[in-house]
Amino acid sequence: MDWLGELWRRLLFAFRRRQFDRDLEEEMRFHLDMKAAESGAAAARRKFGNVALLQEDSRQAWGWAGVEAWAADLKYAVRVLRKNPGFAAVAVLTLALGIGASTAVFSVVHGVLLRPLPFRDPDRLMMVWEKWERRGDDRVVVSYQNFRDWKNQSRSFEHLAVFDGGAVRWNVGDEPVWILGSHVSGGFFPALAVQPLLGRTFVPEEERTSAPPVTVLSYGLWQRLGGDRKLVGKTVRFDREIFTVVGIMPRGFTFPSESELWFPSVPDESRLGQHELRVIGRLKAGVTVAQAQSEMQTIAARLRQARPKENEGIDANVVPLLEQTVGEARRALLVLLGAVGCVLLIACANVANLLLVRVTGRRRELALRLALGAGRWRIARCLLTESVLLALAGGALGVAAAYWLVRAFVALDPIHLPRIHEVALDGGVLLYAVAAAIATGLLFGLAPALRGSRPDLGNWLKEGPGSAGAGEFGKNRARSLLAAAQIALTVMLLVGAGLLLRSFVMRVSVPLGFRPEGVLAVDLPYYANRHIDDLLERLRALPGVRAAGAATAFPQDSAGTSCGGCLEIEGGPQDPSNLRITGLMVATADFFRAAGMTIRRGRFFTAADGAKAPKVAVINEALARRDFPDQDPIGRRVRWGDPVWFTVIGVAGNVKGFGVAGDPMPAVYFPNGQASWGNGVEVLVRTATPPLSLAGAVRKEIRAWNKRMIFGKVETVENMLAESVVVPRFYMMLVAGFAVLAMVVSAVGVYGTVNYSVARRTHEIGIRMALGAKRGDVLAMILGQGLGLTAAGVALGLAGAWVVTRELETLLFGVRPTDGVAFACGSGVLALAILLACYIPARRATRVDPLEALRHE
Amino acid sequence: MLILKTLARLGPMHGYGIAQHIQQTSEAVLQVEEGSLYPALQRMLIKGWVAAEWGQSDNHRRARYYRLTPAGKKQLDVELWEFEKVMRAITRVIQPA
Repeated sequence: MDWLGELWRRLLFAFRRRQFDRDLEEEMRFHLDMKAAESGAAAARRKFGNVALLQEDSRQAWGWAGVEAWAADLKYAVRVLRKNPGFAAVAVLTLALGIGASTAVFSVVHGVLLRPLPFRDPDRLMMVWEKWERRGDDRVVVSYQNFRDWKNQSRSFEHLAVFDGGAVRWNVGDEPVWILGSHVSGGFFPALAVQPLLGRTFVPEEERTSAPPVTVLSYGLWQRLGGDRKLVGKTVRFDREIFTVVGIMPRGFTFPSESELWFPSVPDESRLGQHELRVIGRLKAGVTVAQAQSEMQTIAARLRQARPKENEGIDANVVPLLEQTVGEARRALLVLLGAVGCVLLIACANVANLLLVRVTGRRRELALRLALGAGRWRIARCLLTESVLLALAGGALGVAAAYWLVRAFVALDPIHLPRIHEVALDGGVLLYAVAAAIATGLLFGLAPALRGSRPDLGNWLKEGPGSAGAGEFGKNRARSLLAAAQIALTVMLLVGAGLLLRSFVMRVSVPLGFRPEGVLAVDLPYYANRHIDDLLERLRALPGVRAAGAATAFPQDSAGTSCGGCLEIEGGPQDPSNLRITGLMVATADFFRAAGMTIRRGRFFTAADGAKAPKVAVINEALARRDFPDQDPIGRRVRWGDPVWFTVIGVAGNVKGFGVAGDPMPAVYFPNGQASWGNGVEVLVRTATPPLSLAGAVRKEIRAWNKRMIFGKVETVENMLAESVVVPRFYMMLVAGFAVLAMVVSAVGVYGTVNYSVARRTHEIGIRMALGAKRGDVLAMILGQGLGLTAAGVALGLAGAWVVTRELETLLFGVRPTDGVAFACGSGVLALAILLACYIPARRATRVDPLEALRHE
Repeated sequence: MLILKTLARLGPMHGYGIAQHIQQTSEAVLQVEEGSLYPALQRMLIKGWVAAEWGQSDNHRRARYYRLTPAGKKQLDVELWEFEKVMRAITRVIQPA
């Protein structure tokens, strides 16, 4: 408490120092007067001591002297920078770029990766998955049967609960919409440790088929329904369903995946073995993830023995909820953070170089100040103050820019990042920005400060103003080192960008196997298959429509249903291990034409392949290659869980989306008249006119066909394809953007340094030329120095890239992290840019008029 | 310590008074530059050992009176105790055995 009072008194003093001075002076005068009255003025003064010194002493007691000196430094720094607006502007802008970009990226990383999830003790929240060894998939949804056993046998979890999706229909205006929610079991809300704002959550009696339907609403949905507190206990109606509202959750709680309402999860006795549920749990205090993992694995092993048929090859996998939520975004964000860190370092190096140049120019001033008694530390502090001031100005500008960038990014959410709404430029991020600014200020200020304060007094003072320092560029080790480091970092960024660019090109130049141009697509619900031929007939009747077809999956997506061991081939090998995973597609006759797929052998379906016609199937090339190697599949017979066999009538060319290497999944197509429809209904409409001009008409036609159906957006397939690569494209563009930024900053830095060195060597160049050096010689000399630096920097950068690009591996497609083209292009582009940056001042050097240069002295 | 003790004995007093008192009671043995009193007083103000306010002196001039605070009293006790400890030690050393 003592120091607090002391601080308070000190602060008070700082604001009342004028009064303090007056008080002290009056007090001392009083003392002197009293003394003078007693023993004479002269004696009084002698006895008292030096008044000014004592006053200074008293002031110092209050302890703001250090701060005052610092304020003086600051004032001086501001003055110096204002006198060099060009230099200050370049430095501040460079730093604003570095700090702004890194702040923006950091705020995203902070919001998505670092900030804890908005639950109590979020570290103890876990997702538990089934792990299917034979499919190589470690996050498979869980069967209720397994969940029940896990829950009964495990001791690691305080609560363990299941949830899965659900939805209700809401008729608003002309277009009904789905309101998405979740079915949750008893432990769900306790596991997340959330209390309802009003009412209660579910009780065990409500988890029964016979129980009357109840629901818990999210705050947002409650508000949309009027926000009446008396709604709890009353019923709400969604289309034909009526629920009693038992509770309202607090604002902001929408787990999982933006749920707007929750229902009790009622186990369906007929589907106990279906793998369709997600499991969340809260670890007991003191239980680690590893302990829970090993316990769950033990239980899974026990279940494999107890129910070998259902659980063969099935293990359990405990994944922390944060890791689950953030998922793949993690690596990509860290790569971005690394890239932006490089940009920041480059900006630092650049400004440090500028400052070094300036310190050299200010030698005389610094030497004079040292000679007049300034301490080394004081000079260094002065220079550091200057650089921190620059950094803070740059930081302020950068934060302002980052603020808008982040807001735009969150609003657009171009890559659908998880937790994007938690991203904001908040206190933590601001703290980062300020820390980054001060750290960069110290970092790039250190070299110049050390140099400036370690003077060669005699020589520096002897130099005339603006005198020539010979061999400046080549000899100055600090500056060369900085330039080389800058070049190295830029090479690394460029190589990384090159890799991502090449990978992106590879990704989108995958042969799709169908023609996406001029095709509209719309996703209809599962039950639309019942009268799908009617709808397709209506669509075909629209002017401008060439073909209209439907299937259980769009051609660019992998097959709607897949199964290991479900496809039987007549006379083919048995597949007891269920390892032959095959996709199942049900398609209408016109689907292949609408998609623009190719037929390799045989034929596609026709309208004649109806329910009463002989059963037929089309297989894709991948299936033909896998199951009929070196045979003709046409005429062979296959089946999928049916008693009857289907004759293969055609082999379709493989189709796949962007980013699928090699063959797509082997798949079999059955005609919709002969097979039961499995998943949703995906409709394709091939048009003769620009497709989007027909989107409205298609929508209207579907609505006319079914008034109640809720369906998705009518979109072009090309658009959907573009959307499918938006994430890699975003990262590629961002890293490329950073790389170009870094290149420009480095080039400007090198240009500045060489330019300055040429300017200072005018005299020397003049002498050389007077003694007979040719223009070419001078050019070669200057370029040679730049070249040496560039070579060193590039070599260093390539070595660095070799190590670092390994981290990119999971983000790359079709390119190895050590891809030679990317390495060559990255370093080549930079070398060119740097040479250009050297060439311009070098040419200026060759135009030096020897007479002029010598007279200058 | 001397300043604190003086304030403890006399009550609120101005700088000149403190200086006079120390000189008189020590019978002019302790002669310091009188001015150095003021930086010392400032340091004590910061520490919160003394408080100051303006008042009328005996000859009707404005003078700043310093007054011992509770924290100052505590500090005085501490310093006196330490001083006596040292004194006793010295006395024991120099006493003829």
